[in-house]
Amino acid sequence: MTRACFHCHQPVPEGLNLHVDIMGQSQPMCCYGCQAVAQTIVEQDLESFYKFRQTENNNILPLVPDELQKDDLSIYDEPEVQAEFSFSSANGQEAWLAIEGMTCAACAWLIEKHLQQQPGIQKVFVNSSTDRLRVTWNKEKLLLSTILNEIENIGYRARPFKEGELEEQFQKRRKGLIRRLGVAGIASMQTMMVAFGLYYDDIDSTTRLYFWWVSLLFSAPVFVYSCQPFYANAIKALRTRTLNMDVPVSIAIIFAFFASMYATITNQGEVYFECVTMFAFFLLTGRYLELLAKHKAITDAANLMKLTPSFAEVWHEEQWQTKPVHQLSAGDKVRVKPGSVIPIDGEIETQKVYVNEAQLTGESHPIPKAKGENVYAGSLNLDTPLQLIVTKPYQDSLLAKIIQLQDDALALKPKAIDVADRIGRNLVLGTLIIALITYITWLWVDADRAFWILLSVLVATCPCALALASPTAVSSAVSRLNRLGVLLKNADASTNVNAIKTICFDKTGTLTEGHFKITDSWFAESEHQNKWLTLACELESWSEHPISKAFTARDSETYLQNVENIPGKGLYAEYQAKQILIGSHAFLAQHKIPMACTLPSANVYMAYNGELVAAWRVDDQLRNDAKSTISALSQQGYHCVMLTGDNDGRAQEIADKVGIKEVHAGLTPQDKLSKLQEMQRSTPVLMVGDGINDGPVLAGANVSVTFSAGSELAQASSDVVILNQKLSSLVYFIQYSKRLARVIFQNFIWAFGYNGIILPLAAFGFVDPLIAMLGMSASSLIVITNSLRLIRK
Amino acid sequence: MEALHIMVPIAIILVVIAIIIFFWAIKNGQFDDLERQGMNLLLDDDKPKKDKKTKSPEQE
Repeated sequence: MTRACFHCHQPVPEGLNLHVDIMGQSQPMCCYGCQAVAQTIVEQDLESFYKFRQTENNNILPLVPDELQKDDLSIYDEPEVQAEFSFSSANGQEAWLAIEGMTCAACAWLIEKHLQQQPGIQKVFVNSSTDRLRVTWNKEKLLLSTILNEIENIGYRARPFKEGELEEQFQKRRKGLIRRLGVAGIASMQTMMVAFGLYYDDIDSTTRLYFWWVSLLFSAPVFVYSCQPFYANAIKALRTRTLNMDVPVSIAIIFAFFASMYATITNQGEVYFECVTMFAFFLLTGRYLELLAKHKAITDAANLMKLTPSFAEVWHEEQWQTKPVHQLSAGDKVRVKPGSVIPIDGEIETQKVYVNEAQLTGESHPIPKAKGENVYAGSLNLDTPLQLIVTKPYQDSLLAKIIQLQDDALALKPKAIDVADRIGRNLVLGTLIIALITYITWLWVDADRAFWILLSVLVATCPCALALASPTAVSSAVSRLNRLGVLLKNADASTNVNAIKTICFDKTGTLTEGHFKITDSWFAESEHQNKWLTLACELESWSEHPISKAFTARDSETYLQNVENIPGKGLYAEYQAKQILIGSHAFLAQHKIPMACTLPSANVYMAYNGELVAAWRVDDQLRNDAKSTISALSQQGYHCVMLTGDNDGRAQEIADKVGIKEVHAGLTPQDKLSKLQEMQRSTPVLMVGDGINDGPVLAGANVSVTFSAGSELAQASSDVVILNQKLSSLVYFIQYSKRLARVIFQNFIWAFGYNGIILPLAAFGFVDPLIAMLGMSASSLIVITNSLRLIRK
Repeated sequence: MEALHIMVPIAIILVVIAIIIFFWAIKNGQFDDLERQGMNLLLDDDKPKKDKKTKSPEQE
């Protein structure tokens, strides 16, 4: 198509000529916002950002948050407000900020470098994996709002937040696990090295004993320190009188270590220190990868703190004051700036305003609200400054209720049963019984060999490969999907998706793009289409009405005089000394224009010199991959359903276009959830949605998918977040989950097959403990290699 | 073979030092964000050169 903006990769509108010199080349820009951001980056010598940032995901590139008013931020400078999230340290004031718009490590670097150039900044650290920034600054020299503004100047959005308790625990566990992993890694290298020397037969007995003691020294910390999580889990399971993988893992580790130690002290038999350390290292790696995936989900949820502004401007003691929202009570007067999120439920006191409640109801139209009508927390004030009287405290607001509903649904969510764990439990019991029988039998046959054969049985049948079969495959799939723009927040989702028969879609923002575009047009005379469209765009550029945003300026020249805006109805102006009108059907009818239009669904009309010249249908446009996605899914035998809060007619129209047969329209968040639960009685359901109103239904679905551009609440309650904004990623996710299931199945077959063959051999004394260890390691390696196939290709 | 009697204790000491450094690094948050550190190498590399280029005309 046309040229793309160098900064945000969006197409540059025709006729716009903006450039910034970057790395010696003049690069096109799509708007003044991008130009300003790019200019700042260049002026600060931070151009290498453009060289190294990741650009695969077009839609999540840093953009200028235009809905934000800069003076909004000054509330964060007030001492009482700051006390909620920041604290004083020896170096100055310290706070955590959550950052939006970060896509890769280059962004983190850019923010750090840019802030370090500000006077008064003591320390900045950006963590790109959690999207957080820790800043220490001098209170006297610098205001927090300046810091937030500076971050905004380079195209990101930062807001203070408080770290949750759950997260702190996670951080502690993660650090503990890295330490254990490091110790196991270093020790297994050393013991492997020593073990290699021991594999040679011509080693003299003194050196051999010396090596045994050295191995013992290296593996002792692994046995005592690194393996603690396994012991802890095993004890936990035994206490509740169940068995898990960690029980035989712990038994094998403890037996192998003590047997080796016994052999070292008495100088007879065999040692298996390298088995212990390698085994611990492999298992800990798996655990660490698993924890990382979970940690990502937790931090995402914690970043949600910024959903509604936590502070509101209240009329108190004859002036406007900033107060935390949870302190407001019914009857308070609150002021909301245009472009801001309404902080609390209330009754409008000022004249007519337009609000967007799409996040609450799913209805994508701007809604006019007159004096005395109710507005709800979480909706967006679109155009005019507004004052409202609080009707309900925050805890009782509609938004808070939806969040409550979501929490309830999440608690009731059907849990996947961990197949590996269930099979493992029975297998563990079997192994333990067989090992015991073998030991007792051998005591009768040959008492000297009994202990070593018992060890062979335990090591050979150790469900190591079995324990690795599922987690390694899942971590490979998580990392691969992530690179393809699908974030798997809950790894179980990938397993659950294979049982899915029904897929539910939200309409606004899921099947459609979620913002206005011209979808159809009609012209009285076909030859002057461009002229009329250009005039319409210029005329609409005077309007504050949200629908006018669909008419983007394409020409900077002006043709019109005496433009007048009648808010909520339309506009008129003079073009070549004759009157030109644009607006709703009612507006034109009021001016006695004959409505001879053949476009039945039109909602914007234009007349010139008393005659209708053009009409448009401005609507929320269908995603261009919606139809192909639905038909691909239907072909694969999935039953597709639409659940929407929007009205029946519009929902049906979209459903017909994409080919969805079952439509449920006009649903509240509660209705959506009960509809879903009704469907769940017959088959497991996957839900795709993006708004706040989808929060509860997403939480209740067996598998839930949302978009990263969607509401934060929806993201918090979803298992899967699509980062590249393509609906077709859903098809890919399902396909990939099937592949994952196949790989896990192969791994299980291998692990079972191997254990099935080696067990009788070991029990009858044909397997030396060393062979048993090699067999077990080889088996684990085969499973890991098979899982890694998921990362490639 | 006697060399082993000296080398192995040295190896043990080195391992202990490595583990101490590793623990210290974790405590200081060096492992908080593994992706970043690799990228920083690339990004910071260009900066001194550019500084010279852009600053020299001003200084002259």
